[in-house]
Amino acid sequence: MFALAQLILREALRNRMAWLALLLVAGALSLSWFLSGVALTEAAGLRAAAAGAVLRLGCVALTVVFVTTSMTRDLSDKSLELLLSLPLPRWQLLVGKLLGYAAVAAMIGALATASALMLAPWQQSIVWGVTLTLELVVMATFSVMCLLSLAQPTVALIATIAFYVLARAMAAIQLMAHGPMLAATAEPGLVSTLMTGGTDLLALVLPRLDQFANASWLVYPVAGVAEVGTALLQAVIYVALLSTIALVDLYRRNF
Amino acid sequence: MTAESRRWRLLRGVRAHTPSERPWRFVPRGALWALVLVLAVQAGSSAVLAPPAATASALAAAPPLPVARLAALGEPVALARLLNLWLQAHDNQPGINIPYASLDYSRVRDWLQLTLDLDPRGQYPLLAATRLYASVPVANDRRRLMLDFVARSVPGDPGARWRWLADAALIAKYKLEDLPLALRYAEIVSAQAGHVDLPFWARDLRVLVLADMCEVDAVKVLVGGLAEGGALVDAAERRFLARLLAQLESGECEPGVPRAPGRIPK
Repeated sequence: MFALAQLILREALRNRMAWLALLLVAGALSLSWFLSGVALTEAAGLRAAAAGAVLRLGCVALTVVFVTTSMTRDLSDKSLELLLSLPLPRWQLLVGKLLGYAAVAAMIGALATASALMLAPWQQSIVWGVTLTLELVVMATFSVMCLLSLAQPTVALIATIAFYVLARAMAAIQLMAHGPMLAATAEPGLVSTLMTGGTDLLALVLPRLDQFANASWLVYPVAGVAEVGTALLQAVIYVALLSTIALVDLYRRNF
Repeated sequence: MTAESRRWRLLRGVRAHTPSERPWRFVPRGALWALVLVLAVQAGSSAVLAPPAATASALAAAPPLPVARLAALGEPVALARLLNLWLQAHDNQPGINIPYASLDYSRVRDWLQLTLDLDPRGQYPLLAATRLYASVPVANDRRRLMLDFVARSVPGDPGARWRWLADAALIAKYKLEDLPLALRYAEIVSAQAGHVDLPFWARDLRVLVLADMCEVDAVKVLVGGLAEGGALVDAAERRFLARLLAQLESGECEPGVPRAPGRIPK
């Protein structure tokens, strides 16, 4: 299991992931410095917010693309089949893979946290960085599950992007579904009820990623231990859910 | 058929008959129970977590044009369109309605100006200014901010934007009941007559406002000028203006005392 995780870490280093992550940090910091240079006021806040938003999106993209390409290579090179031929239960294979990808996510998250420390007070940066790392772990696990279930990298990547957008927007969608706008425009009836009910149902099975790594946390001291605790709880439950789905798919899959 | 092609056909056949999934009995029962359990925990935790709360966020200050251009990544028109929608929906944030009266109109004007600068051919911000922000029930000073924004934007593209200033003149006349302001806007609109193909109603707007102000002499001069210049080619327009003049001269209008706006001669 741990050997598998080590292999993934080595793969990440050989893929020049570290350089890519450093480039991302440099790009995000440069953009934020440039934007704050033209700001009339609150330049530091603008710098932190811009860097936070760009880093968050960039880190998620980096993690998801790495996991997708790595898993695709495993599937097309038949290295997964080689591993299955070893006296290793399938669950150990999956846990090893997930540990490896979680370690890569943690490395990317640590780099982002280190750059956030240059822009915001350390307490705010740590809260932001920890929740960002948790978000990256959730996204890495989702990518693994998609690849195992869907087997097609393009479909898996699109599904991952759709999941991410939906998970970040779900709270707003839910509020809109219950809000005055829909109530004023939609005719009361089955369709309206189905829409509201469907949104609520979807919210039950999605993580609230809007409660993770918000860039505003780097600007204002509004998040603390409670936010980290909530994010940790959500991440643990959701990673367990995704891992179990991936495990069931892995057991059913005929290589 | 060569041996090679026979081999490929055979391999394809084997592949086609190999199911991609194994039966459910290959999945350990523990994994299935774990799936059910974790799914229940996820649903339960989502239900227990604090529901999303609606908060009304204040309208942020518009960024400088260079920053917006940079953010547009070479797509200023697309960004302008999206910003228009975002600004329009700002009063209706998820889960909450913000009355227009509590909007910061100077910021609204800055955002409208920004979207107009990003997409100078777009009419959306001008329409929003006149038909939305200046037409809803808000204080008159807020309406004036919007009308002023429209008036300032007209010199940028009079051919396309005069109609919004005509709207602004009507709002000044009926909603603000500020006839001098309506006249000022109507004069700007009428001044475009030489360069732009104005409809009769827009060209005659100045005459109508002056009539409401009971400026009988000024109306006579204007109508006379239009007739002499050969601008009154439409019989219905000539008839309408003649009736208006007759109505004003009949004595119902006291010079210098504005009459009730909007009285159209029958």
